[in-house]
Amino acid sequence: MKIRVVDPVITKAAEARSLEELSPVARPDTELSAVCVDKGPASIESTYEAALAAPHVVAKIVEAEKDGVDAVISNCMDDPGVEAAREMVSIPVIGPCETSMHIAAMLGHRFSVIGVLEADDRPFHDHARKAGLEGKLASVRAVNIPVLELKDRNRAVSALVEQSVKAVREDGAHVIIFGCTGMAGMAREVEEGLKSRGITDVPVIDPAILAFKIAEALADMGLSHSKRTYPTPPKKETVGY
Amino acid sequence: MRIRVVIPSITKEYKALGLEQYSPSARPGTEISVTLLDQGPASIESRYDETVATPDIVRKVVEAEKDGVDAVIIDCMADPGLDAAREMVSIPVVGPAETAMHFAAMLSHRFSVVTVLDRLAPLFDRHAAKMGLVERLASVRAVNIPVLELGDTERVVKALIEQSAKAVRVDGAHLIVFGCTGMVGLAGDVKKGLEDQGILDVPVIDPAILAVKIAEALVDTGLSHSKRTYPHPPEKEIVGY
Repeated sequence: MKIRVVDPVITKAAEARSLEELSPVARPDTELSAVCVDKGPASIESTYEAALAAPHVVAKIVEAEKDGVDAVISNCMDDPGVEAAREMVSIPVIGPCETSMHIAAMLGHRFSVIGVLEADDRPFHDHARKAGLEGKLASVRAVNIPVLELKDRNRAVSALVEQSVKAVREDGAHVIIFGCTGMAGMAREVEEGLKSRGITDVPVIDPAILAFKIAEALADMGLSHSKRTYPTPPKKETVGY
Repeated sequence: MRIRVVIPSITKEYKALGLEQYSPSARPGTEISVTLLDQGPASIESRYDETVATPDIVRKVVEAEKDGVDAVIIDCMADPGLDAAREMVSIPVVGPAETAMHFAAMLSHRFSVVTVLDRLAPLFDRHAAKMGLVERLASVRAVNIPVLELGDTERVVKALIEQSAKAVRVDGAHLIVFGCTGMVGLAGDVKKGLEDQGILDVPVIDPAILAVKIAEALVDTGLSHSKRTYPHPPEKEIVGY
């Protein structure tokens, strides 16, 4: 099966990074590809940047369907362009945020999201409210490291552990969700960090990897979004796209 | 990986049938095993049936973990014993109802459950309330065929198509979830039946098969329920178990 990751940023290095992070967990029969957007921001840390990226994410998802891809991921925790893309294609379009919050709600009583910046608080509450899971959202915390600096892995893991511990002890979180797909591959280390602080009972969800495994699962079953919920837009003149 | 399906029934024929129905959805490398209950009802169609099935379900889940199984599925849309079993084990315990309803909420605006008997409607209302998905549940409909008669596939498919079409046209469903795991394997036929009636845009979730795929995905990602949400019960005297 073919899975495509759309990295909603213009930072070309994101393509290689996505392949590097997800290839080790891909099944033998999964062919993984990654593409960046042609226009948009270097990283997404605001609703504004997500809005600028979204049209180009949709274009890449439409292209993926034409290329015969079986499922697509909009690889950002703001799920940019996911609903618009679902209107335009029939293949599954996976939003890491939506997926992680629903799975977290299955696995635990309450979850916290550890995002990059304090400003992530509003969008994550909005996502939870929309999913009907606001009562399950214990808190949103931030590591206060910009997305483009997450490659300083030691610093990111150490800040994730610190905020996750606080989410558990102060906010009552029973599951941790990473609030940025740029934190991919750090879940085991954060779990270890929690364990070294005596917290042995809290799973850590890595949304980039989870989204990828759920993409495989949906493609396996031939299950996708309802086109009654996401019908194709009416035909009309649209300039620039 | 090894997945154990606990069929919450004492009906002997269900063992071979369960294996036959679940095995095709497993990917290469997944080994499915099936166990029945030693004590409990022939099928689950009431709160009472669910209650008397639960202790043995939990025992079978504990046994599965001791056998080194990687994940367990409780093969019933009542998700009987799901929370209790999670308190007793660390491996993922997958409830088909919980899983199917969360995925239905991801894939559609509103969904309907088409179950066996009218008397089960409150069960799904309760599930939705517990999950925070009340507004996403368009309706619960029933084929009015008891579980033990689901082997009459032709009759069941016909009734499922009829009720699903009504759920779409009358109740506003954008997606259909089968309300009994005994309906396993019929999603393709029901989808086709809906298409024959001009309903081309409504996915059908087969919760039994979805449960297998999600069990695989959870094992792949090393995720399980939070033991902070489902801590082991305190040690004490318990008679009879």
